[in-house]
Amino acid sequence: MFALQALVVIVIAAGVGLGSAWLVIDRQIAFEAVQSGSWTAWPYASEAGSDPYVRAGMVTSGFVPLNIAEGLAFTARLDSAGRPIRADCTYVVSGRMPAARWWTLAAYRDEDFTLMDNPAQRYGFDSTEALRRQDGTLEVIVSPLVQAGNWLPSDGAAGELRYMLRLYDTPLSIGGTVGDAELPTIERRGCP
Amino acid sequence: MTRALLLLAIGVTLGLFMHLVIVLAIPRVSEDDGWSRAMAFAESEGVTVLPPARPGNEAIPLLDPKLAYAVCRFDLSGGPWQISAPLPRAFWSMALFTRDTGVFYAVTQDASPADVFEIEIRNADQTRRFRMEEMVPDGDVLQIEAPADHGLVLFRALAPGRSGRAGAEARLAETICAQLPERVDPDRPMPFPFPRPRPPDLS
Repeated sequence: MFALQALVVIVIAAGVGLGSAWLVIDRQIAFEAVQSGSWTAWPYASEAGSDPYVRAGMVTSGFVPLNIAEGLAFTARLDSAGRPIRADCTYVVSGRMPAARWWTLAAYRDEDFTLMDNPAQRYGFDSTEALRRQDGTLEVIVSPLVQAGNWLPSDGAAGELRYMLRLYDTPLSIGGTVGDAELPTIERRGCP
Repeated sequence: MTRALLLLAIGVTLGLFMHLVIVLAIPRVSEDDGWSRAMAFAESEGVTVLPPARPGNEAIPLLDPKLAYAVCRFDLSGGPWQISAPLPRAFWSMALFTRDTGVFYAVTQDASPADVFEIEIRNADQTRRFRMEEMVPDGDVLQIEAPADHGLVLFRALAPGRSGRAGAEARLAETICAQLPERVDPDRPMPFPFPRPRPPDLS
């Protein structure tokens, strides 16, 4: 009887302990996260004494985070309607980029954080090559199908994606107004 | 019934404890973290430019494919360290970190008015000695105190457009990251008593 009770306690403990740890790290639930629309940033992920959940998440993903003095990296796993971003769909990332001397946009497989192979050999977009509208806004189309304009190719078989928008040399990191940053929207335009 | 609730309570409490242990332990036990991967790439001396982040060939996950990266190790056990980095025109940054403290210093090219960025890294002891011996430090060289003797420097340089990579990587490869050549005799005794400041000349 006692052995059975001990077993029950161990099973509950393992379930709660492992399950909750996996959940917070996989979902990247962390106290220092800054959210703006679809985008989330962890401005202090690289520093000592930072949120242990952020550190655990960064370590398991093998990621060397950008320090706040260098810039800010925003991650999106959901579109503006709250649906996971799919590699086989076409998305339009549009709006005004926050103040930064340079920015880059790249798409990765959400599962293992790898880049996607594509015939155009284009893996990211940067501020020096993006075409802008007259009013300073721009749109980048992420799609497995060839697009005119700012096209970031995705591999239709890659499953769910995460976009990363990195702002380099940005006044946002000094002003402490990260949460107020207006970031581009991610609209789904069509799926096969 | 009470017994079942008690078992549940003990189980959940132990589970929460496990949760904390796991989350805190992951950075300590992981051998596949960014630090270890960057360390594996860094040659024991000098600057190593990482291969461009391309599908199937990513040195560290989630690298920016539009950036060129380079790493170098610093080891202060034999003396202070110097970094002298020629700056490209587009974005450039440098982050100094140790495994335990994370990034302890980071800058972008804006911090230097010149087209070369120069810093010297010292541990706490070397910094103290330097402050005593060097009355007027060279203003163009930034002095940084490191929390540990061993660490890594990660350089980032934007490779803009489709043709910017070669230039960005060449600049990174020209970076000097090496032990500082001796300028003073380390066996020289510490000045003691400390030299007194000269009284102002009133004549």
